[in-house]
Amino acid sequence: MTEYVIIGDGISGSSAAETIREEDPDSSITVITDEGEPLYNRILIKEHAKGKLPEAPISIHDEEWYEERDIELSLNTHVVTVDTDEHVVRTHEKDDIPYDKLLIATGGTPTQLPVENSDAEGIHHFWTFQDARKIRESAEAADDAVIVGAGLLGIDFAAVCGSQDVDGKFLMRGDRWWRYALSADGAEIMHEGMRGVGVEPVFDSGVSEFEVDAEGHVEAAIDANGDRYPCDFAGVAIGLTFNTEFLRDTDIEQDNGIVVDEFMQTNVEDVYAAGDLTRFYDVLVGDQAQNGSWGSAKEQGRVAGINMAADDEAEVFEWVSSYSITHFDFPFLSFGHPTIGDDYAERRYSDTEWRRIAFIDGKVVGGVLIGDLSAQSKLKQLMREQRVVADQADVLLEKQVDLDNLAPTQEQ
Amino acid sequence: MNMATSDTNHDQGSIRLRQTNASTPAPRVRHVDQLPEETLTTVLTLLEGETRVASNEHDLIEGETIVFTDYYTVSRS
Repeated sequence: MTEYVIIGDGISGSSAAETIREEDPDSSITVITDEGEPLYNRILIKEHAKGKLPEAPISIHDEEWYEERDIELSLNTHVVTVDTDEHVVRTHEKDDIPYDKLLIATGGTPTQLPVENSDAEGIHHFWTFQDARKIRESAEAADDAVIVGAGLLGIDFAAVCGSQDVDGKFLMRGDRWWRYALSADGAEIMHEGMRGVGVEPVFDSGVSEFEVDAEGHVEAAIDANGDRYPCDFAGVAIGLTFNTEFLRDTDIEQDNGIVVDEFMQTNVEDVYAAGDLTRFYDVLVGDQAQNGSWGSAKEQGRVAGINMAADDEAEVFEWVSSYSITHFDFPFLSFGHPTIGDDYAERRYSDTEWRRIAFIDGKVVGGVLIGDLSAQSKLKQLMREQRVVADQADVLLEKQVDLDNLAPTQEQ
Repeated sequence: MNMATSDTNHDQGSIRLRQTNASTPAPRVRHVDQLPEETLTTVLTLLEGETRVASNEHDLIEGETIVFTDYYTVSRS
């Protein structure tokens, strides 16, 4: 009987466990997580923090789900080290858990700002369900907030402010939100969205320190220009630090993430990785890449599970990811890898509609659509087909994209 | 994008996406980022006002809530 151990019970780990049980019904499966609750819907915790969604719909699995599938679930369990020679996982309670196949799906932990008082009461990071509960509680009692981190995660704090009637100041180091993927035209639509919910973007700013009151609770942020922004709470979302410290004694290759191939295999035999923390080989761009979306993590877990159970390179991970922002009156969707292009094409259609497409070697590798998402499936299709189309960008920027208007594919 | 209520016909009856309150009990709540590709396209198509969608192009179930720029309940009529 094969023994599978999965470290991490996020969507990738859980997806792998479910897949392995289907593929190898007689195996032993152990899922280890340092969280105190089974898999929940990490996408929807922002809706809970906004005060819009109760807790119940956010849970995905209860403990019975694991029992019914004969999956051993270890909650509140910290893995301290892995011995890949002996094929053993060691936990903080000094339990040794042997494995034949190991999946690392531990994700990340929000990075703390390297400034004074960044660990004060009232300074929140947004990653777990427990984080969301605390943010909701803070926001419900707050009048003013400061947000730091001009990316996809930071904007969730802006949405919380908007829904909870909190005046927010969104302190950004650069001149716009998500400057790596958006031009000034696209970003301005997002800035207007923020203003519409009561959050003011502050550019060329960023936090130099937090001030705290006598009880150690945050009461203001001081930005890089010395300006002071009073706040009842602060939301910090400057990135993730991947949870790989327990691998320090292994030879598993890391490069700002665990390096895996298109089969989710690490460089160490019988060790796989899936989810946010992978730097995976993306067959669609022909290079290592990263992605933090729910769909990508779920699919990576499934593919890892297939290959672990097969003990073979049975299935390739090939996926075009999506990440949506649904906090404003207009929708926003990014797909693929919108920040890594060697060429870009973009167009603004109205005050709330904009599109940008990223290309590498003439092929679509990602994009961002704001306001009008009607082209998303066609652009994703082109990415999957790896067609050279950058020289026909005008067709892709038409309001209604018609792929029949593209010239026939030429042999490369 | 038209965010109004949308109806569509397909071979198992018509499907409606109706703006709803988040506190409405639902058998399932999904954010659009959790939808399979075909279902995402179907939902966007319905919200654009399309009137016909094939039943094999989505996995929407009766009563579930879809979280987009509003909350929508799926119903058959």
